[in-house]
Amino acid sequence: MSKRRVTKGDTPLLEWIVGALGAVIFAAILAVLISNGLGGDAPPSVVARVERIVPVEGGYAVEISARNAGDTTAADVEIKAESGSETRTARFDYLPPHSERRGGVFFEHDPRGGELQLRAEGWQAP
Amino acid sequence: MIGNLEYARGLGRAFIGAVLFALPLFMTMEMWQLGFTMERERLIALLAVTFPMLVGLSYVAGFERAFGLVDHVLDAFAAIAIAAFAGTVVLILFGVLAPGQPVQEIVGKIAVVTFPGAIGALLADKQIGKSRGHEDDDRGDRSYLVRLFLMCVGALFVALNVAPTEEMVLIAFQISPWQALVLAIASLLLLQVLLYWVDFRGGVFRGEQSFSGVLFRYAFAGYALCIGASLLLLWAFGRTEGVSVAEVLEFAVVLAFPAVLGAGLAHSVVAEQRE
Repeated sequence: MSKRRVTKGDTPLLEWIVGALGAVIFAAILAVLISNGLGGDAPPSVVARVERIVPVEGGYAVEISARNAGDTTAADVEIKAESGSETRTARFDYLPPHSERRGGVFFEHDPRGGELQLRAEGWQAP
Repeated sequence: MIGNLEYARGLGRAFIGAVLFALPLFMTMEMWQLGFTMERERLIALLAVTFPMLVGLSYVAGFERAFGLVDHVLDAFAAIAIAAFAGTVVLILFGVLAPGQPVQEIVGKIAVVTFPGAIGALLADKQIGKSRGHEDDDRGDRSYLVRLFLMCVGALFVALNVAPTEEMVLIAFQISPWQALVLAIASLLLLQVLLYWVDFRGGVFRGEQSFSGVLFRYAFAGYALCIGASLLLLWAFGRTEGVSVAEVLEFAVVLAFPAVLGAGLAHSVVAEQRE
C-alpha cells in the first residue's frame, strides 16, 4: 500500500482549516448544551393565542398558536377554546421549551362576535 | 463496452440495492405522512442537495465504468429512476400507494424515498455483484475532500432512515441537556474509533496518520458534517418550525449519533474505487 501522504509534518493547509472549523463547531455545540443544562428547570408554561379565524365548510376554523415559555417539554397538551356556549379542545403532541406549535379548533357559530377564550388545561411529561 | 445483458443484470442488482437501502423508510409511518405533510420547497431543496451527492458518489463508487461528468450525471439519474421505480413497486405492495390518493401525495411519497434508494442502487454493484474489472485501487489515494464527501453521504444516508420518526424527537425530549452533552462527546469518540481503530479492509487512516491527526482532521470535521446533515434533515422534515435554537441543537445531537455511524463506516462500504 503506497504511503504517499504519510509524513505528519506534511499536512495541507486545507485539512488544518477544516479541522479547526470542526473543532470550533464542536466547542460551540458543547457550549450551547452546557448553558442549556445550567438554565432553569421551570415547569412548562403554556400560553395560547388566536392567529386567525376563517369561515370554512361546517362552521369556522380558529387557528391557534401555543407557546411553551417554560424550561421543560410538555407533551399531550390540551388547549380549551370557549366562545359563547361552545367549548372545543385542541391537542398538541409536544411543546418543546421556548417553542411554539400551531393547531386549531372548529366552531359552529361565529366566534368573532363574542369573547373567545383560550386556556391550557394540562400536560404530560414526555 | 458492456453488453445489454450485462447492463440489465446491473440494473437488477441496482433494483435490489435500492430496495434494501430504502426498506426501513418504506416501512416507516412518518415517511408515508411526509408525502403530504412535507413542504414542497423543502422537499425540492432536499432533492437539490442530494442530487449532486449522487453524482459525486457515482464518481467515487462507479455504477459502471464511466468517463467524464456526463456519465456520472447519467448514472445518478439512472439510480434515481431505479430507486423511484423500486419505491413505487414496494409502496404499492404495502398498500401505502393506493388509487384515489391525490397525485401530490403519491409523488411526495416516492420522492422522499428516492435518495436512500438511489444510494443503494449506486452501491449495489459493489456489494452484491462482482466488480467488473475495476482496478483495485489503493484506497490510501483518496483525497481529503473525497473522504469528507463520503462521510457526508454516509451521515445523510443513515440519519435519513431515522430522521422522520417521532421517536427521534422523543429521545431529545426525554434526555436532559447534560445527557445530550454526553451523547455529543460519545458520538465524536465513536467516530474517532470508527475511523482510526476499526479495521475494515485495511485501516486506511491508522496507517497514515497519528491518533491526534485523525481526530483533528477527520473526527472533528466529520462530526461537524454529521451535525450539518442532521440540521438539514431536521429542517427539511419541518422539525425546526417554531422551536428554540437550543432545542434544535438537542435534536441535531440525537440525530447525529446514527449519522456518525454512517460517516464512520462510509469508507469501508464504498471500498474499491477508481480516481
